[in-house]
Amino acid sequence: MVKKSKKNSGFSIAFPISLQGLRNRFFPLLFIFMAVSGVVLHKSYDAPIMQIRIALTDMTAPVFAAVSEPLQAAAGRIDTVANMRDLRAENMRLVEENRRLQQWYDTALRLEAENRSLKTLMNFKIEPDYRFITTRVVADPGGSFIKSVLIPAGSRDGVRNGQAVIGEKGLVGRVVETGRNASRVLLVTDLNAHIPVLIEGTRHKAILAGRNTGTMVLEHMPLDSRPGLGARIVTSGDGGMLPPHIPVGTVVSRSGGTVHVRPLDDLDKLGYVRVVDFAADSALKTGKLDSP
Amino acid sequence: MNIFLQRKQHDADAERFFPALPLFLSYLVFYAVLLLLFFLNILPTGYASFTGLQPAFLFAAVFYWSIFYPALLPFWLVFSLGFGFDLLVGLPAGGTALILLSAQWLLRTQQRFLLGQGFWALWLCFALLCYVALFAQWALFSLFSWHVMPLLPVVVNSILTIALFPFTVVVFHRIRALILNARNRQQEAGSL
Repeated sequence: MVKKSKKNSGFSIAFPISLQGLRNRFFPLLFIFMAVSGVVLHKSYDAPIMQIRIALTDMTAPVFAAVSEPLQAAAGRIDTVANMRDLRAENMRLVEENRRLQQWYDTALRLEAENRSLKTLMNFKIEPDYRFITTRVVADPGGSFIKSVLIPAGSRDGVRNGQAVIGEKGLVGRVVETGRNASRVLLVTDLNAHIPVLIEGTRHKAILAGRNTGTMVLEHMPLDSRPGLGARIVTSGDGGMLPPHIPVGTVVSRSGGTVHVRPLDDLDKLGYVRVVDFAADSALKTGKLDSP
Repeated sequence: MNIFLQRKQHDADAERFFPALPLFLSYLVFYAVLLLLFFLNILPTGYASFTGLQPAFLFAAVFYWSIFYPALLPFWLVFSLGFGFDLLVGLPAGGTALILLSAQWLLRTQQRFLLGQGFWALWLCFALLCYVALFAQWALFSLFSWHVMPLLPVVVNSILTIALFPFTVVVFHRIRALILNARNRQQEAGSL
């Protein structure tokens, strides 16, 4: 329908639907379609999404680092004030613990010297030393569905995909995405985390699987394996991805053949963590063993 | 001259030379708060012993501004915030954007009805929509990862988001008043 405007001397075209109305109807649909396409693309072919995610993480890591520091400091002070009333009891406990640890330290030094001399006698291949990259957790973006954290250390600091990340007491996760300045760590409790482990004190191997809850479960255990409550679970080092003998958690419950393991560290309150630069045998990593 | 009068004179001069300045500053406050809410959902909260709890502030912002000032929160901005959030968090890229956009679309179609409601009715609408949105997100992610995700954190986060709604509304109301005030002053200055 074309009609001449009465007010203006020039022509104007009156559409049956105004541009504003069309925009109001079209724009939400366009963006909803784009969002659905994003989900479908992520599910079917996630390489470009991964690239964008790494770039965005790299870009925002300095912002997170700057914003999270005062927040963490303030929250730390709140915790300090809250714990003030237990200060005396805490001090006595620490003095006692320190005395006990000193004894263990002396024992450990003696055992280490003994172990080294025995290994030399047996011509045992010494495992390489680990290098640690200490960093701070700057974002805890997991929420209800993903258990992961961001650390402001990336490839320029020597962080690589697959490296183990340990907290104060034990393994907390594994690096899964590495940018230049920042990396994403998948926590051991995430649904996609599967770690080859050993039940300490036995030679029983299993896979420790995350469940997106506070605990993990032991899978593929030998039938005769019945780890007791409190038994420690350590990494087995199988596959060469993670160093062996890093403590991961302790058995907290057994129900109907399912063994639940709680991580040693409180994963909701991670502060500083260490990325283990584990120089595993390159032949193990590539799977190409030289013929003798 | 009194220092307060001096400052008032200074403000009046600034407004005469930069009539759009107060409006610009009020917009700046709005976008800064929006960005802060975005980051609050990602920053570590465990330090303050609020383990795993993440109220959906972004959703509350979309709810409020879609009703009271839709022009400030265009679809492309909601899409960008949702998509950026998904990328940073590690959720299916576009999932949060899809839920926020759907909610925004629904709210805009019901804007006239919602504007006429009192606070309690609005809170009830928010509670209903919040549950639907967070459960939709849970269903989407369960489907995406082909595993039934734990429901408890979703329920707890929904309750927390709903409980915090009055506080977020107070902040948003203040910002809205700031913007409307600045806009009125600019219009008055333009009409003189």
